[in-house]
Amino acid sequence: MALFEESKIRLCFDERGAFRLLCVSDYHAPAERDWDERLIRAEEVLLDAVRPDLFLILGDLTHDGALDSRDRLERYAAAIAGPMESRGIPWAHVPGNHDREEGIPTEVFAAYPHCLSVRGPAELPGYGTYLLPVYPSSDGEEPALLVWAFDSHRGGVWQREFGIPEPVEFRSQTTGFDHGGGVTHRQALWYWETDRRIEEAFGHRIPGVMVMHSPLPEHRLIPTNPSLTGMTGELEESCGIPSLNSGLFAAAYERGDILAVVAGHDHINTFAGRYMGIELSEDGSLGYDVYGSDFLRGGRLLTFSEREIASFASEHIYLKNCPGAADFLFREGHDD
Amino acid sequence: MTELCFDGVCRILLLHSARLTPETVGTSSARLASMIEETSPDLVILDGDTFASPVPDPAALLAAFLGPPVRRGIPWTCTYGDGERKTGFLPEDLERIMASVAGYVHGERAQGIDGITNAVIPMRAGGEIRFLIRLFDTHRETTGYERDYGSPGRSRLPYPLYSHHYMDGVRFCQTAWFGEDHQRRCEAAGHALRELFVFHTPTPEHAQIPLNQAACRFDGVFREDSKCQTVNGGISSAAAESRDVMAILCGHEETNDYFGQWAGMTLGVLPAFENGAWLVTTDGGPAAIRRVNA
Repeated sequence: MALFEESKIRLCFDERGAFRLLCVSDYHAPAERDWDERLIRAEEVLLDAVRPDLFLILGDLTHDGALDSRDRLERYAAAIAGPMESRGIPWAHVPGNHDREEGIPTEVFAAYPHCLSVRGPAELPGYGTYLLPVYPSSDGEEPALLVWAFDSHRGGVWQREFGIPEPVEFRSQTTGFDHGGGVTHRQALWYWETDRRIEEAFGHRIPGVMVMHSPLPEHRLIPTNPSLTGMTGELEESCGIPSLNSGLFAAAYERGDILAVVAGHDHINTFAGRYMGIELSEDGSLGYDVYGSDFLRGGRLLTFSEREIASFASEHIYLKNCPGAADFLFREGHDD
Repeated sequence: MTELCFDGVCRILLLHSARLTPETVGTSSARLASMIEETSPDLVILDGDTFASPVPDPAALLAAFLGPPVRRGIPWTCTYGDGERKTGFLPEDLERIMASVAGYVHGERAQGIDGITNAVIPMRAGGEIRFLIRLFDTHRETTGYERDYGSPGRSRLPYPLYSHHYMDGVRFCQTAWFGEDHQRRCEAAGHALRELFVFHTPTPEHAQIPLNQAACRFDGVFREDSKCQTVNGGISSAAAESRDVMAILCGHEETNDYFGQWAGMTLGVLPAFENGAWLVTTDGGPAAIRRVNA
């Protein structure tokens, strides 16, 4: 079995030895009316401000699962893909809890020349768990960085996918609820086994970053311990963690090669902090068809240096600080 | 010995925290004799903290304690908890001590993962494997976890997700071993194999049972804060997703004694040995739990 799926674009560090990964999320295009065009302007402004090497949309591209016709879906896909395609910027997405496979099939996006989204291994639940290798600026077949993308499903994944009959929603402060879904253990095991095969193939571990829609349970430790985790950014709503813990954080910790885990889902949280050596962050939201705030809209930018990948820079890029944003920010809409 | 046979319904006497010392071994052995008399088990499992402090001649202490089942030809096995790490014994010493007592079921040990007592014991009836007992080693505190993996960060935060006691537990490498080994065994058997998990330190999901008593059909008493593992290694989710695990039974806590239903399984925290033990019965289907008084 090949270690990496064939990719239409080879992701590489640039000639200065840098790789910029920009994560955004939560577009929430409504099912029965056109999306707010400010979303597309927001994409354009962010892309022009950052010029990322990879643009990742971390789920909830739609609201309530589907647009009401194939025609509208394709128009929507064309609209949100346009800014990346016209600028020649590689991009990809993972599904969120409001997305449905029948509503936004991966193939609709994957048809775009610069879109790297794939369904991932057939044996995994969902339709968007995959691995993107990033190669050095010089030629070579050994990746310098790995981007692990996870479908975190929608609420009730454990009952639906695994037939777990008992309620798994709890009333306590230590877990979240099953409304938002989460990464399953089978996906955590896929990361574990694939990462071990990669280590065997190259003789050492390759650093990586994980991205997904719903945060890990461990994300909640950052805002509850802001000082000790070196928290930056904002916490404006509760951290929406799942009710079951797949062990993915422990897997990442034990493998020792994951530098950061970026999640979406919470629209008005932009925090980042470090727990057990791994940065855990949320990227706010970018959409205008759901609750959000122009004070917080933007994306999480991770900038890696080829020479010292572990010393990456992480910052929330606020749309309000980007050139060109003033002409559409703070208008009437869904802002809090 | 790596596997066991039983007739009809298997009876397992499960206890933890015997904490053997020369001063208490007589009382403890008499208590065990009474429990053996009452339950007539097919197997005795010592679920960790059999030793919890440095003691002279531990092999003799263990032999004295296990006299009642050994004299009746009842096999026994054990897992290690945090207590075994407080004795000063090296892993090979512990293994030698355990193996010195007749009737010890070593099980099929896992290789190449963290811990010592990670083992599978196939339980046969009528010539077929009816279910598997899977033992896990739960190590000591999270400081050991950090030391093993060289964390530049810290696990000890004032607001942990699950427990302020900063215990280690079943790590992800052990969870992955279950996933791979279980699949291999099921493929070899040609059908699903039910499993019973036994280990010392509870999972974070165990801590949810007393907090959600109606939803989990809580049964028992909850007298002290949970001392579950701090960093969740995912073993409960792995067990739930497999749909083949009937129960995850743990110890470690002193005065709690409860079980409940979670994601299609029974999660239980049995009492410390001085407060009682459990008789677990199963024919490979759902496990029934009966309390045995000290």
